[in-house]
Amino acid sequence: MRISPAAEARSPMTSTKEADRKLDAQLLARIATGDEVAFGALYDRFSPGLFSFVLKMVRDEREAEDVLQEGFAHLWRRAATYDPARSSPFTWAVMILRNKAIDRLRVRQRLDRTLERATVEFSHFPESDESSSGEAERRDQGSQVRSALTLIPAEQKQAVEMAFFSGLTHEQIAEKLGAPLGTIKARIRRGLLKLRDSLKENS
Amino acid sequence: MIDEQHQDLASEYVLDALDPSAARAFEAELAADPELRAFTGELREAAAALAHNAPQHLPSPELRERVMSAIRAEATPAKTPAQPAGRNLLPWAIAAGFALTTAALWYERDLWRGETLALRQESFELRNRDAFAKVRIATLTAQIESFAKGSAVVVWDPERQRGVVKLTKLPRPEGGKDYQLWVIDPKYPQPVNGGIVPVDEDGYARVSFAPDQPVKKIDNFAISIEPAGGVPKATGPIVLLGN
Repeated sequence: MRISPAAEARSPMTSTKEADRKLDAQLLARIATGDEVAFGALYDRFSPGLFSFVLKMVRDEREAEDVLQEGFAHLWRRAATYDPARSSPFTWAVMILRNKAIDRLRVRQRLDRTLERATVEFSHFPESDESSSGEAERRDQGSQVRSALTLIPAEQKQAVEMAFFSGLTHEQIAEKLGAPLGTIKARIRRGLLKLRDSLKENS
Repeated sequence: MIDEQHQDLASEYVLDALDPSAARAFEAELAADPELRAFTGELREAAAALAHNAPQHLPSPELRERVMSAIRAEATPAKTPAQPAGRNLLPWAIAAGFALTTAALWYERDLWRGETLALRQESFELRNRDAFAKVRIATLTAQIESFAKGSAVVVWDPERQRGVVKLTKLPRPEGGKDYQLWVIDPKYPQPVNGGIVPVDEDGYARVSFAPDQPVKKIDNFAISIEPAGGVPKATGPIVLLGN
């Protein structure tokens, strides 16, 4: 998100964000030189937020911890490739962890098929309900994003969240929601644009 | 002004939803169009902000030490794209070793692209690892009449010392109790704790587990009813046992 210097001067929150971003970028630069202390500091800054969203994706604490460990190992090895012109350090980390989590989800889909095959092969394991219970959302953090999401029409919010958290392709989302692919793409586009605009306004 | 088609492409690109050839074509456009690049960057930031919309949970304190130990075990971080580190990153379930379609790889066009490439290389390595033969699958059936409808499947990867247990149609344990998984290895006088297995309202659970102690040879798996939160040594009745 680009913020004008004037807006930055007006908003202490934005100044804090920019300061955080600079600090995180400095930590990544130090990590790229093999600085373990900087790595530990970045872990402490990022791990709560990253763990929460990975857990929301994989819905299993142990797997979420595995993803977090893999993700931070990746950050350690690849810190030198971080480009501050392209994204904030947190966004960079989020996208890396998201890819790791999606890999897990796809593995799990295959595993579930194995389980089903195994049960057919080795026993008469009854069909089970694959649905999982939803997680009650806490409201103590991320209020800005949650507030922004309330301004997005429900259908767009649903499509954007499915695209981000589930690892489903747009085609799979269209199939699950019973809507044409073009409609789903438009919902995701409009939802992301509204989210961007709302976050800008809140900044 | 970014037209709708490019807005769509940018949305899909930041969510990694474009196929490789479409992603390459879009990156070529990005390289030549600063406005599109800025727009895509903004969408990426907006998408990543969704990460804040997750219920807050903290990783276990032990994880920090595990992560720090792992990176200390590595050399100084590479300044060039690293080789995929499959040995640490192999998800246990990859061991199921399915026939998989080959992921298309392409050359790096820029640093972000490099990230994607590394992740896909890693994924490619994992998917091609054929460890199916090492995986053990066990089915567990009821030992007590009142649990007759319940059953379980355990998939175990001895290499990773990890597994997944899937329960179905088990009655919810009474208050103050939990189902707990046990791994029976003849090396140990007592069953090895595999952790508690919380079931939902429908008596269903799907939980990944790692036993408390390393196991080499598994004779069986069992599910018992134990005090809530689990116990280090089995005390309760065994309700499901491997065939």
